Amino acid sequence: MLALWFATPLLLIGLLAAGIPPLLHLLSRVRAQEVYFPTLRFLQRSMEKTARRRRIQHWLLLVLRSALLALLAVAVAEPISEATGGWLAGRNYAAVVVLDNSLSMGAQDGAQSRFARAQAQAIELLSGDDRPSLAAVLPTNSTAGDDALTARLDALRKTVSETTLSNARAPVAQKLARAMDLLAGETSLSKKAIYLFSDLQQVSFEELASLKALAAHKDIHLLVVNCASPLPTKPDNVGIADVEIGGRPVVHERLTFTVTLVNSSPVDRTVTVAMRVEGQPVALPVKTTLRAAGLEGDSRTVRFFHTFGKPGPVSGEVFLDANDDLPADNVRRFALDVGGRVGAIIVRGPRDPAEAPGLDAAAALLLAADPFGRADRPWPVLPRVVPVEDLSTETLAGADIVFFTDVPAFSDAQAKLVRDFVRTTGGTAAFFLGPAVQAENYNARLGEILPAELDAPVGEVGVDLPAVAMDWVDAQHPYFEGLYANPRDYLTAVTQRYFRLKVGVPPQVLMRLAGGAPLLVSRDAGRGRCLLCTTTASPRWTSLPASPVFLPMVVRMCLLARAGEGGGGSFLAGSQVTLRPRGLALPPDGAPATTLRIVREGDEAARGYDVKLSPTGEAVFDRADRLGVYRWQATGADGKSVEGCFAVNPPGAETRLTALPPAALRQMLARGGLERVYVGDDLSGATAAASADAQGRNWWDYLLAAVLVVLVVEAVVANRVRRRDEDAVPAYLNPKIAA
Amino acid sequence: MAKSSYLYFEPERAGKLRNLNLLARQAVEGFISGLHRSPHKGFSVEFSEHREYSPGDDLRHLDWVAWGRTDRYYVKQYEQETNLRAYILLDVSGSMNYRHGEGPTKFQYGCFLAACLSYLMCRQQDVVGMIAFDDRVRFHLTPGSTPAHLDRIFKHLEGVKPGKLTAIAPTFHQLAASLAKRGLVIVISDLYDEPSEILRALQHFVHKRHQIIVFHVLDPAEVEFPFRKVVSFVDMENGQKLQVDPRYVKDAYLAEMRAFIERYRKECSDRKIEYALTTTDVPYDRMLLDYLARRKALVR
Repeated sequence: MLALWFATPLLLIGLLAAGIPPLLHLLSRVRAQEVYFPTLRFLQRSMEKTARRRRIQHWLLLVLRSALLALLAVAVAEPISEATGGWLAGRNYAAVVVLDNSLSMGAQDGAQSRFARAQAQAIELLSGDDRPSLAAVLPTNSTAGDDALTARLDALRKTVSETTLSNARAPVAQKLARAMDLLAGETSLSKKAIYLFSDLQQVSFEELASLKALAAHKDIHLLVVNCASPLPTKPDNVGIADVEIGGRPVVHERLTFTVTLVNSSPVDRTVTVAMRVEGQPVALPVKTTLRAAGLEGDSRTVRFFHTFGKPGPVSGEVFLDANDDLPADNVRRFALDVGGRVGAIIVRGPRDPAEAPGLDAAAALLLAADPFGRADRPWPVLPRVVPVEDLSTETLAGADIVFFTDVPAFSDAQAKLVRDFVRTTGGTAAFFLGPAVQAENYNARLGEILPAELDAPVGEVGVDLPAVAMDWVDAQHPYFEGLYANPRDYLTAVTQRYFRLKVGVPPQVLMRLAGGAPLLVSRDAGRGRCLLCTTTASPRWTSLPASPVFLPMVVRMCLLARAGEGGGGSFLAGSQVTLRPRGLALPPDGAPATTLRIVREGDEAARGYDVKLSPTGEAVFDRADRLGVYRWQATGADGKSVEGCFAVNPPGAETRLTALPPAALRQMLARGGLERVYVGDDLSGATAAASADAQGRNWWDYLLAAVLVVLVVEAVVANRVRRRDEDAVPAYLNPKIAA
Repeated sequence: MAKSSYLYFEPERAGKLRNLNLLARQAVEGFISGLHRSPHKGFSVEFSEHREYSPGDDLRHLDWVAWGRTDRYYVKQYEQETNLRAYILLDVSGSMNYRHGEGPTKFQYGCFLAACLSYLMCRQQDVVGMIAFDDRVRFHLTPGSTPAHLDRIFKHLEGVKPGKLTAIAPTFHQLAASLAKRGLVIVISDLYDEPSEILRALQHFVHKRHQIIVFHVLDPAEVEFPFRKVVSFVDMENGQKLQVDPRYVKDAYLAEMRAFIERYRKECSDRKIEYALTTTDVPYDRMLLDYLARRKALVR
């Protein structure tokens, strides 16, 4: 049933104007001018012929003019129709309940958590008087309930009540698309709705705008029940959105832990942040103040530094002392597989007896790789110098990087050894040249891994002879990134003699001389990397070893030569964890696969998971839905046990609890093509919004259109289109035309 | 040219027509040799045929060549050209007193036309009579061609005033019966009477072997009906009133008028009656010039 009311009923007084035309018709008498006419015979006959039409036309005009005034009066009074029993009354409908059970829904921003509120309202929908005839329940972070629509609402209520919070981000777009598909397949009921119970975190809805499925189902209503607390003091939450670890996880390397804090509270908050490793505090707590949500400064970063002294898997956490709505984001864990010192081999060519000790390239590299060179001063790089004639598989065992300084030539065996070290083992080979280097030998034997082919050396060395300055350094490359604020500080070295490179496939240039000649080039070869410096590592041809950039460059070459972590790292809850245990001997072909035992810290061992390794040595773990540190252990084919750990954290975006404004949500969804979106702070609010919009209609514009139509009809009736007067009498009868 | 002392005769306008003669399209009876063929054969200029000699015939007309060839006596007969006897029938009923704009009334227009035609006829040695009528004959001038007769016509035209009612058909029947010699009958009228009666009356003239020319004079407003506002029309003959919204009746009125004119045009054509429609906004001399030029071409 429809109820009709008027926005401005006072203007209905204008309806009286509808009586004006009949009144004028009855009261007014046309005072026509009297005009003599030769004969009335034709006029009388014309009047008789047109009498009926004139009568109809008169009445029609009277009706049209009265209707025009009446319509205008009703239109300006703005009639609004509305369904008397709400949009669901008296009608069957199908509904899909999309229940947001992401981490942010666990926030206790009222008497109960957001999720508990969502559950209660979903159950209310499924059991109230306006319950749907057919329904389905789709939790955003669970596969439960992903079935067809059913009339068994009791089972759905059970699904709702048994759904638990997840620690992941809500894939709202994906679930809405699924809900659309479920409803589109239902043809017995014409009225369809999706009820989304969510806290309207922006991050959950970002993909909706690009979801094409929304536009295809314009008949489906989306009723969004905002389960976040409407209290102005809520939410009250400061969370750790991210912990970024800078540096290489090797012993004695100082790592940087950059912690990102986010304040979702409507007021400024001061919190204390601390870090601990293996349960032990490792840094002084830091106190910081974050501005209220939405203001600049509502997000801040805090840095901690820590150096690990011994290798092996290690875990830790950064935590807040805050007591807020969402405790889950007050701690963020990390896990690392700290490696031993980076092995650096410096292979030197034959020494020139005439050469001064100060011009020894190997010594320069050794000094740069380990500036202290003392056992009591731990250093992440462990370098040693090896003569080229001692180069062998054993020499390279355990090495992460090999420097070659002024090595004249390589034998086939040596060249193969180097190629394998780079391509297969994944090590880094760095070539520094010198007067003894035979370019043809390098090109022939190491062409596969060298970044470029060598040409002849150019330039003369001498005190009074010219030198070429460095022109450019790739300051964004990890070897140089962040060393100096001023780019000119990188360019302090000059070079007098260097090898030119032949034109070929352009290598990655890291340093360049004035004039464009490359000084340091790089190339990824197989699993490893090859670096080529076109001049010496000693001051013989260049001042590079004496420049400030040399030492950090060599150290970073060493640290970054260490292969990535194999069994550690941090993962987001709900994501797939892929582990590649290093040092684990794989079983031969045909033998049973190795099993990885994964146990979450704090759980009983019996609650662990067994994951089989693939033949390539990978283990995929897809049950990382609970937060915490997971430790794994596996025994290789050689009986040697390998262990590691990884951390599972919530998505950083879930930390920001601020809800998306309903208008912004509607705008976002409208861009995706979904326009029937109704947002309410509770179930009844969303239903009321749907009722007002779906069946409450202001007829003002329609009536105005009707007025215009009537006006046009009246004009047509009152002023019928005539033929031209000259056409009324045929030309041959018209004396003027005939004349 | 000297200014005319007559109300309805304008010599400068009539002068434009001096090179045009009003020729009869069929033989008419007359008593003065003129431009028109006479039905009586005599001894005039134009040879017509031979006739066998009979005693008493003038020997001047004996055809000696025919006698030489046939050995019989024949006299030559000549077709005699005679003068035209014309009657101008002018409608002076109340409806003829109408004008809508600045131009003359239909009555005035008819008077100008009648005066001009009279002048033309007299100038070409034809005799012309004038009859003014409404529901009865208001004056009747027997045919003549002298300047004095012309003066009488003009004076009578000046003296006549439009009457009230129209009764064209009875008047025509009466006139048809009274006109002794056949000739040219020129009717100047708005023909506002029952068309079938008028046409029957005109047929009466035809039956009496008269040649008929009808000048149908109307006001432009009657043809175009330019009225837009509601008007109370008053009949000029009987005073009857009728309130009309021209927007509703214009189309129907024009259709009626079209049918009215078309009927006269067709029926006159069927009866070999010349019909010329004119409106008072067309200068009568121009109308006559066009009409006479067109007619001359047809007669020749």
